[in-house]
Parts: sequence; structure tokens; C-alpha cells
Amino acid sequence: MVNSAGQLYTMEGIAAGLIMLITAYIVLGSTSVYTPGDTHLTDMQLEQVGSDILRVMNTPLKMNNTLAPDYQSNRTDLELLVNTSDSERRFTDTFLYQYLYNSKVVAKETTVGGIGIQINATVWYRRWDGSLFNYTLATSPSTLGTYTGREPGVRVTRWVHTDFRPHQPSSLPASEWTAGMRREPQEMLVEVVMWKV
Amino acid sequence: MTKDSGQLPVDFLVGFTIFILSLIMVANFVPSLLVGLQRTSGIDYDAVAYRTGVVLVEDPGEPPGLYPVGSPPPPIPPPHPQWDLQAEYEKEFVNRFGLTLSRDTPNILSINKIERFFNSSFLYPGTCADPDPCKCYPCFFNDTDYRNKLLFSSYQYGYNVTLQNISPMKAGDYPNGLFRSIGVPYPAGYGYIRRYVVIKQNSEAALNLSTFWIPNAFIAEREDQVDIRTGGFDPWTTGGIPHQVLRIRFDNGILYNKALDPSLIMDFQREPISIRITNISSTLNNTALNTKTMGNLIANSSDDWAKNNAADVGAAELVAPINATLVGVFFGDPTSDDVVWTNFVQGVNLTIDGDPAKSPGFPLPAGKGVDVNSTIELYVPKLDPTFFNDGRPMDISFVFQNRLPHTLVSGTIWYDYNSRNVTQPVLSTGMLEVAIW
Repeated sequence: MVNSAGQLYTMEGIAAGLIMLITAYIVLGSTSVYTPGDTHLTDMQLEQVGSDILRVMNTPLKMNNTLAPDYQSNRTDLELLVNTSDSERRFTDTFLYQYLYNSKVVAKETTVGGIGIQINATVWYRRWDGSLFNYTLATSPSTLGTYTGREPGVRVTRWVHTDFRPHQPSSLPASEWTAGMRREPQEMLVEVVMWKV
Repeated sequence: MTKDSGQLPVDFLVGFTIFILSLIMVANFVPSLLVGLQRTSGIDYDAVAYRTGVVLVEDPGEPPGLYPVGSPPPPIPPPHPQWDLQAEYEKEFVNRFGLTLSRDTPNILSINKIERFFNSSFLYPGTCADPDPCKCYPCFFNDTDYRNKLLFSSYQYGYNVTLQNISPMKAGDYPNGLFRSIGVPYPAGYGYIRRYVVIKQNSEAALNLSTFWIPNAFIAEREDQVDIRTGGFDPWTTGGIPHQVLRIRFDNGILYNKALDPSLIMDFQREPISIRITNISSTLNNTALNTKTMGNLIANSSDDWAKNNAADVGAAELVAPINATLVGVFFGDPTSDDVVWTNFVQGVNLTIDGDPAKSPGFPLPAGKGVDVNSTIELYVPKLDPTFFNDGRPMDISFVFQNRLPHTLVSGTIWYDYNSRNVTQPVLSTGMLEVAIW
């Protein structure tokens, strides 16, 4: 029981310590709730914008052939550009400059869009032996900085159909292009990682 | 336990500890309880803007008119046509705005819905002395409509919806591009969403008869473009002479080909048909004149022309008639023997020679033709699905009187995906922005 030997003081100390620990735990646990909520919404907007751009790029805008029965020739921008030699420049031009950095919106104060957003586009395809492989389709201009992996980014994807083996991408070795990629109509997954600097 | 030792009793310490813990927990919970009531503007407004954007960009609106392409046709037509075809007095039947072509085509917007949705003067109310700009300018939809059919909230949000094109629009219709907006300018803080979209414009069949020598000389993609039944087209003969019939054919199997991307389908159960026939005078046949020795000209009309021709009037004084005579425009299925033809479809607009004064109204007055000098323009807002029952084709037939000077326009032209017959819909990319505050 209580006497003058100091036992009670020890218990007071333990109790005070417990109170401090619990307080710190509760306070820390409660303050971290709000910040992710805000970033989540911005991420949602960014993801929506990226997904919309890929969807629009993957919509055929016209018949490429004037002959009525030739329906199969309706290619989308996305399919056409994976089949061109400078697909990297074209993808960047379209995705970034035609849509994301469009001068009609850059001037406005918005939570998404503007020069601050960067992209890294990858194409996934299935090789002839069944394994998955990918190559880099496009990246933001290096003047805007590089992706360190620590920025919170969002990832949007779109399946694109191509009637041929894609044109050899600059980031893919000729050996892989010759030996790995199938020479037939196929579906490829275009994946774009977007992040805000 | 001495009174002056300053030491606390253990029971007090336990009670105080529990009290402090409870106090901390309550102090921690109370703000969380109030989060739902707090107006943290960014979160709430962004969510409303997102919701509004989804309603506009991923939904055809209500009523949607018809069911998606490819699904079985509904047993009975919906009671009201799609919302963008409702007349002003029917506005109450519009339940929800939505701009897509159909439920199957998110992000692909119909230009007709866009023009109807943005058909409002609810833009920059400052230009009108009255707070309601619809008091100053014509408005199809007003502020109340946008709140009740788009925002769905009793809270009085401020809003601005803006749509503009990115890639070029159809040059003649939108020479300066497309820019449509409702609402008021953005204030300082607002919730925002941006959607990228494809804007689909309407098709048009522009038939220049001087280059389309029907039936022999136009682009014969199909060998059977010349309709073999033309000569025996009984319902519309006069005096034993069959009329000349120019048919524009709509074939289900071609129009709704499954291999086509939904963005490219011309769906005339939802989209308008424009037919523009020009240079009709080039089809007037004057070759019979050369075999006659002509006398004095009596007058210059098609009926008198026949008399002149019979009376051998003089060639030197002869003035060729300049009119073809259109006696009817009919809609129907050409393949069935028990075909039901109709000369009335809701909302059709027929213009003769580009002159509103010459237009006879629609349907054409019975038993009386209308003289056509050069141009016929027909606008059909949409075709009833019953025309396409069982996958049969349907025709729009222009029936011309076949007395002298013989309007030689018999034949069938497919309204399809051949860009030499039909100007295909122009699809442009665009951007829809919604701001809420």
C-alpha cells in the first residue's frame, strides 16, 4: 500500500506514461485520416481524365476506306500510332499536347491538367511463346523531370487491337521485335502512368 | 497516510486516469462526428461536378427513345420519343439530360442532343436586366430545368457546363468550331471535372443529279442499284404512264453491321436523315424535240409543253420547260407485297429550291404536284423502328410525274457507308467541363 518508500510515485509515473502513450497514439491515428481523402479525389480526377483520353484515342473517328463493305479498315488513333515509326512522338503529341495540355484549359485554374502532369506509357503484349513482355511507348519530355517512383501516380489502361505486328518501337531491341513479337492481329494493353510533379 | 504528505490516493489516481482517457476520446471523436456536417467545399463540389459529368457523358438521358443497337426491338415503342426530340410543350416529359448516342456509347455524344441541351440563353445573366435571362432571350431549357433534370439537388449550386471541340468540326456547319456553355462564369473556388468526348455529327446524302446519271452512270457498287420494279410501280401512275421514282434505300443489314464500331453507325432510329437532291433540271429529257417540226409555242409549262410537242410547234421558238414535277414523297418497305406506304412521318421538313415560300408543306397535298426547278431538301428527324421490323429495308421514294419532259430520275440509291453516296458523319474530339460551386 501507500507508504513513503516511493511505490506510489512509481505507479503515478507509469500511469502518466500510459496516458501520454495512449494520447499520442490516438492523436496520431486521428490526424492521418483527412489528407488521403483529399489526394484521393484529385487522383480520381486524374484517372478519369487519363481514361477518357485513352478512350477517345481508341475510338475510330472515320472510315478510312470509301468502299462500304470494307468495315475492317476503321482504325483508331491508338492503333495507327502503334503502327508508325515515330510512335513515341505521336503518342506524346496526342496524349499530352492535344488533350492534357490543351491550350483551351491550361489557362484555367484546375486541380487536374496543366503542365504539371507527366506520363509514362507502356505497351504490354504477349510474345509468340505465350510470355508477357512490354516496351516503353512514350514518356514525358525529360525537361519536365523524371519519374522517381515516389510521386503518387495513377494508372490507366486500354486494350487496343492491331491488325499487324506493331512497327518496331525505338525502345525495343530488333531481336525481340523480330523473334518475340507475333506477326498477326492481336490485342495489346496500353498502360499509362500519370503523376503530378 | 498522513495529511501533509502530498501523496495521492490510488483510487483517486485510477478515477482520474479513466476520466482523462474518456475526455481524450470524446475530444477526439466529436470533430469526427461533425465532419459530415462541415462544408469542406473541395470534396463536396468535386463530387457533384463528377456526378454531373457522368450523367452528361455516359448516359443517353431519359427518356432514351429506343433500346441499344443489337438488342431485340421493344414490344411497343416507348411512350415518348428521346428527350432531344420533345417539343417545347413536352418538356415536362424530359426526366434527365444525357448526351450520349445510346447506352452503349459512353463518351460519344450526339450533336443533336448537344444543340438541344445548350439551346438556352442561360449564359452570363449579367447581359439581361431580369435575373432570369429567359425573360430577355428565347430559352428552350431554363435554370429550373437544369437543376431538376441534371443537378438533382435542392441545394442551390452554382454551375457552369462548357463544351468545346478539339479536332475540327464539320466545316460548313461549324466554321469557327463548337463552343457551347450554360451557367455563369466561374467564381474563385469551385468543384471541377473535365471529360474528353467524341462529338458525332449528322450524315447527309447530297445527290447531284448532273453527275449521278441515274440509273446508268452513278457509282454502281451493287449491280442491282437499278430497281427493276420501277416500271411497274402501280400506285402512282397517271394515264397508264408509270411515274418516275427515285428511291433512297435504308438497309438494316448494312446500316447496323455488327463489324462497325458503334461510333460509326448511322442509327436513323435516333439520328436525322438529310437528303439534298440538286440539279434536278439536268434530268429533264428534251431529246424528243429533235424529231419534231415545231410550230408556235403556246406557253411554258410542263402540261403545255406536251401540247406543244404534239402540235409540232417551231423549234426556234421553243423554250425548254425548266421544272420537274414532284407528286409525292413516301416512306415504306419495298420488298413486301402487302407493303404499307405512308406519306406522313412526324417532323419531316421538305424544302423546294431552297425557297421556304415554295415549300408545299408535308405531306404533299394530294393530287397536286409541286414544280421543282433545281433542289429538293428533305429532313427527317428520325425513323420509327416499325420501318425496320424484321430486318427489312425501307425506302424513301421521291415520285416524279413522267409526262414530258420526262424527268429521268428512276433508280435506287443506298443511304449507307459509301462516302461517294452519303457524306459520312464527322466525328470530332472535344472537351466537356463541369464546374460546381
